[in-house]
Amino acid sequence: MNRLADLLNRLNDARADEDKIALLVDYLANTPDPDRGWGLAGLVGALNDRCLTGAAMMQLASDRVDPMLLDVSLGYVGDPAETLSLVWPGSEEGAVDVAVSEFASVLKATSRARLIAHVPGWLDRLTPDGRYLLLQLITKGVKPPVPLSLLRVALERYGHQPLTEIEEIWFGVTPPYRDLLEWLDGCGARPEVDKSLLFRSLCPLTDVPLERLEDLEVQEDGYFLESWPDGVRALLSAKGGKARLYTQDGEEIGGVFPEIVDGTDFTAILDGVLVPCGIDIMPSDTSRPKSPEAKVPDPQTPDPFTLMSDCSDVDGSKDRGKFAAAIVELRRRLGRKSVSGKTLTQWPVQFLAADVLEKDGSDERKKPLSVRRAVLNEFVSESKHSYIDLIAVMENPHIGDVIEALKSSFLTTIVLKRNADGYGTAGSKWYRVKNPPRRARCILMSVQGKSNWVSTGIEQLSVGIWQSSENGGRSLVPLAKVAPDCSEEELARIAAWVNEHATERYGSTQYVKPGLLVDIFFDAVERASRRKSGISLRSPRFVSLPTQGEADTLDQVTGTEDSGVLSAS
Amino acid sequence: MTADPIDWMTLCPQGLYCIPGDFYIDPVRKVSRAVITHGHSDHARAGNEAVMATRETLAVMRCRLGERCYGQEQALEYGEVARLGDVQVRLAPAGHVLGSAQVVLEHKGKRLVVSGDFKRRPDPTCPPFEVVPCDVFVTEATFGLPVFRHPNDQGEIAKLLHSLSVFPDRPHLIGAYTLGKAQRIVALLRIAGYERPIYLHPAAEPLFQVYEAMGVSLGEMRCGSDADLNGEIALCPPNALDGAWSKRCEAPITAQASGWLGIRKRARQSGVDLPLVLSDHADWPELVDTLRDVDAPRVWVTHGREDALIHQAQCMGIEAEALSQVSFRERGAG
Repeated sequence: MNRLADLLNRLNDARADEDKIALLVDYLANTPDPDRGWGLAGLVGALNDRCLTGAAMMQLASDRVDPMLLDVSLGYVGDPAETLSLVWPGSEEGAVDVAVSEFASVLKATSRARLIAHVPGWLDRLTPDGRYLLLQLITKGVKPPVPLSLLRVALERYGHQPLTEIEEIWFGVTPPYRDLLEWLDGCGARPEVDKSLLFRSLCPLTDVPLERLEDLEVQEDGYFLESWPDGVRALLSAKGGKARLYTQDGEEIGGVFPEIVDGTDFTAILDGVLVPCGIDIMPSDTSRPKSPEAKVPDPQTPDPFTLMSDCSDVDGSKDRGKFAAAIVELRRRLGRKSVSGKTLTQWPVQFLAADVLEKDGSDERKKPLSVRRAVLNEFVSESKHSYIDLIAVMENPHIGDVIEALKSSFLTTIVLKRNADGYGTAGSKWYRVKNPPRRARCILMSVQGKSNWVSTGIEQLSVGIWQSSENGGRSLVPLAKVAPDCSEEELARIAAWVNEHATERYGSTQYVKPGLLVDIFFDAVERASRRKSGISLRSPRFVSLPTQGEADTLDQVTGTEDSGVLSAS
Repeated sequence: MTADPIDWMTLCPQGLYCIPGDFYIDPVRKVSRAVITHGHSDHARAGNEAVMATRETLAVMRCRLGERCYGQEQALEYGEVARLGDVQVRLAPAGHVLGSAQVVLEHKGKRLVVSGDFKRRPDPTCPPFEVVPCDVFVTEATFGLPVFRHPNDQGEIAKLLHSLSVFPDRPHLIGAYTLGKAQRIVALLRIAGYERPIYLHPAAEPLFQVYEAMGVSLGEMRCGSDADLNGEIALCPPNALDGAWSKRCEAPITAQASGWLGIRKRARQSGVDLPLVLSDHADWPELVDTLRDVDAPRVWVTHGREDALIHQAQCMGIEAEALSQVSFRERGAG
């Protein structure tokens, strides 16, 4: 467990993804089984078991350490688990490390009380880092230091097997992943897993800005235009009444979308988008059963999105406010382990199928899109599932159609696919055209990174906006964090400003006097009650450093009309 | 004046003062006579008229503070006895850095030992701490909390070498104090079998030369300013990790060697990729062991976190108090 603790520390400290991958590959190459597999399990959170309370943990400590010393130590360190891991008077010379597999087997085999009885003996044998890891596993749980997608890249790098195959196998193997690791070691065959309910890689989208659309020769026959409403891309894998739902990264989310995974009456793997129900953003198909209406938040509470209803848009911006709130709820569900009945009735979600990868066991991926489209239309219309529908499609569109589609359906992405292309096969490309981003002029509040503020040290900019307060004054509230994707010159200007106008410093964040203007783009505004500004921006990114002008206010950002196609302002 | 050290020692604004000997120990301001325990800047300062210390400490002082940082010098070998006024003075090894010493004072049959900064674990670059029984032991308490238990030195060096094997094409820059810590890291690397040349920041070079001159050989050292550092280890002062010298390296792995980095908050704040918990001070178990080994009936605690160590000493039956709280017979103005 000491080795795993060291790995965790380094993964948490490393900044670059490539460095994390190198550390993981090294761990995979040099750790004996079964600890290696159990270590992997620990990295994905499969070994967490909250069985020890904070009070019980400190009780363990007070049995071994003088109370005055324990108190002073806790005051200095702050965190109880860390304090205990440091003050524990175990013998470090010649102690036999606690194998992760030993911990895992006790975890699986015994009751909580018996597990806790093992703890003091284990603490005696571990280094302080090892103790901290053990205590984390049985109290708060260890947060995965890397996303699952990065871990799978590391497995690919180690085993030299295709990432798509690893992704597909991952959900069918269990800790300690013996078959998977033997295969990656080169000593075993590819693990056999029931692939019907498992993950498939989704075809990636290539972003194309609106102005470059003409280069694609959209006029040519042979494109489909799909209107993808703002939502979450997902993969639905259904067979024999059971179904699983995955995100693009291969995270299983079926547990929080029971309205979609329950009651599937077909066998297929579909690519689509999860969107809130009941909001008229598509031409409604009256032949299908209507989905329940989404409830609207209390109109009495001031809602920045209702400001948008003052804009005279063709499609009715009252719906925009509802939709924005529903999207926030959808994203919240993703972060949870279960969903309440209340959420299910108030904010139901539907799955709009855009493509089919497999049907009734046969792989449709190599067939051209026109064939797949026909297959998809047929069985989704036949299916009685109330929460699965088809995405809106236009055949053989012109550029004008694309622009109209973007303007008329708010918060929508247009995806263009060629009729003849297979799914994710070589040479096939899917183009995504987004609504042009909105622009905000902000003020630099702080920078983050390794200090000394030479330009290469700045890793992130935190920008803010003016918010007027009740008594007529105004204050600066943080709005977004952006990476400094700008030219050398602009970086130098930022560094010069920081060096001249630095105020306080907390760790790697250096605050500066407000005054430097920063222009940013963003896709959308969402409500976020935890933030000081009350909103969060979707995909904020750096644009430029204007030399003159006034910063925007919070009201302007939430109530701003779309600027339409990118305009110089 | 009785024999009790409380009568013939006192604490002045300039520092700890021995009345019958008329000298200070590690004074913080310029004085006429000073006994210096070791060359770190919070103990050895420029401007004293006469200085007594080990030969190595004097060499370090001249290197750091200039050739004329003191008026007269008196070099004392470990174990050699000198007489200053009515007091016998002897220097015993402290095991902290090259030349570091404990100051052993005897007057009217009573003995007082000032530990200075010390550590107990073996250090390839200097002689180990010598236990000197005494009536009053004045101890440092830099890491005077039970949370400070330094890990095995070789284990930390192994982490560094492991990092080199995972990232063989990247420079590994280590921030470490140029006096003592940096040399110890090199010595530990050599013991672990690392034979490649080790590169130095220009600020570190002079002290490495002093170590060589004093007979501590550390293998091949090279200047790190123009060399290609990919795949190599380079040492620099801790605050140079963010400066221009290190910035010219592309994507270095940064490390820092400090006893404080065992605490997660501190390690995070340091911002380095690889914190190494290496210290030239005694950790809590070593401080407690030292109290037991020296077995002095009275202990004065200074230079760090006093409360916890005082409590521990009292539980062990030792009369302990903070040096700043000792009620000396005379509180001199110096």
